[in-house]
Amino acid sequence: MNTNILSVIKAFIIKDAKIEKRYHLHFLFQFLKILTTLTIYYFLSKLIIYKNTDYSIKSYFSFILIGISFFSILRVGLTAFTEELIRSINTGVLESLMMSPVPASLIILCSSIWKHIFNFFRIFMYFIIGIFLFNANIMMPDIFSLIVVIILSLIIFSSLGLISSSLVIFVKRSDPVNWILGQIFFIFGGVLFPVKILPAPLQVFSKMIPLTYALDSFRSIFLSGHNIVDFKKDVLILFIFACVLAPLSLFIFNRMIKKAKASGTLYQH
Amino acid sequence: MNDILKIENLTKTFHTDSFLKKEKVKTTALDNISFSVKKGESLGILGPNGAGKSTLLRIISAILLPTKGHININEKDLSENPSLLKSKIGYINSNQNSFFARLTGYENLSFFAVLYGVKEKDKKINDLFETFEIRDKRNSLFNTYSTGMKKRLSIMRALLHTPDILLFDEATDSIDPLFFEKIKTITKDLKDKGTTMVWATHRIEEVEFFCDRVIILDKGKIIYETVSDLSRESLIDKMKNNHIKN
Repeated sequence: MNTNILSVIKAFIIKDAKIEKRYHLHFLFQFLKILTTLTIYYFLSKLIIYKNTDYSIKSYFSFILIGISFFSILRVGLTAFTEELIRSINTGVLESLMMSPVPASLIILCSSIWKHIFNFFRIFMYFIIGIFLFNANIMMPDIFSLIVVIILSLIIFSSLGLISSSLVIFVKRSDPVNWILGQIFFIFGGVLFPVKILPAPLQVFSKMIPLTYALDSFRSIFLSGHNIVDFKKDVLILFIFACVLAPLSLFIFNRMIKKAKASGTLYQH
Repeated sequence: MNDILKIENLTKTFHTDSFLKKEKVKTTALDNISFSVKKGESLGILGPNGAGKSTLLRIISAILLPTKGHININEKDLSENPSLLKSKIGYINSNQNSFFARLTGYENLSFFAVLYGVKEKDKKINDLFETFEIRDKRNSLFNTYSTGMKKRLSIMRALLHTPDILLFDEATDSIDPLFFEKIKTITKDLKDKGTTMVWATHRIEEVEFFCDRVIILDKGKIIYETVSDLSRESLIDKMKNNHIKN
């Protein structure tokens, strides 16, 4: 008997896709949510004359489209693990999963994969609606650059999510942590406005946040048609964040699992 | 026969604390217990609620770490290679809802079969649905199952990977009398094939029907061990005597 990692990943994706399919109206609600969000930002953007010279953009709406669609990678990265962890503790499924020979960190990582796949579908919908309904000025991306920035973003934001889920194991709630982190990133990461318009002391926060560099990279790709060479400094900073956060988050998570297994609190909520 | 499972000086203490509170309350769930189980043997762990039965099974199945002591499975220390040894254990926990509610019974078992690396999983799952007499419910969502059916599915999940050791935690609580008889046949077959079984229960009939030997556990300590007289009266006497002493 030999547990295959790829088979385990596939099993989690199939399981979550089947569960998703059974919530029949979820796809429709997601579509309506994206449509209403973009409609609001489209008409708000009509009121704003945007003077940024960093990107060769023709509308503020395109700037926001990139901001809110790719901010979702952070949101899903932060919340996916904690949501799944809390749900599986409440139903008792976590105990059954932990009984299997699959390592705990792999179980938790696999439990978020479907949420990321579904989120990329949502980002795709943002782009389709933004481009075809609201005439967003989006350039054809350099695919290699896009994949690199997406992978680095996934690693960074999932690592933050894993650290947050480690807190769930002990304090049994991480919503406030996720909420505070999400809000800080939303304000200082340049989701709705360029960080350059913030007062200089507040821009220090922006420079400490990986989202700033991720969104700058995505905007360079989609609004200026640049490739990875043109924004190599941003990619290098993202790479450093990923190299530090990924091992650190796995270390913290495994330590917390071990402590919770010893204290007997792993399966309580 | 060799000892397939050996428990040595096992102690488990829980500290109820939090990040903010300094004072800790120490509870000893298992207090320096030792016993062994031979291959193909069926051991009953009998005791009142809170005796430490579930804690013991959780430690054997490596989902809870002991404070002190060792667990050896086939003469290998569980703490040194939990992943390998976990595949030798099937654990039927007391929570029969530990499945994905929005998946069918079949889909649930199929998912868990992958985690255990089960070969020819479709055949294995179909056979289990046949044996456990819920074939007609295999494509129904788990949340439509009755409590008894959920319990059957829990046992089926534990049998998926043909484990050497089966741990039953209050496993027959919601099983109707007709299927209780069926469980007797199923477990007898398993025993004949050499599967070792450990039954943690507070129900004396479970011990009478399924076990060769009984350990009575109370407040984390083994208070009695018997091989010869597994009658209801005798076991009740032992439990009562201990209760009066304490």
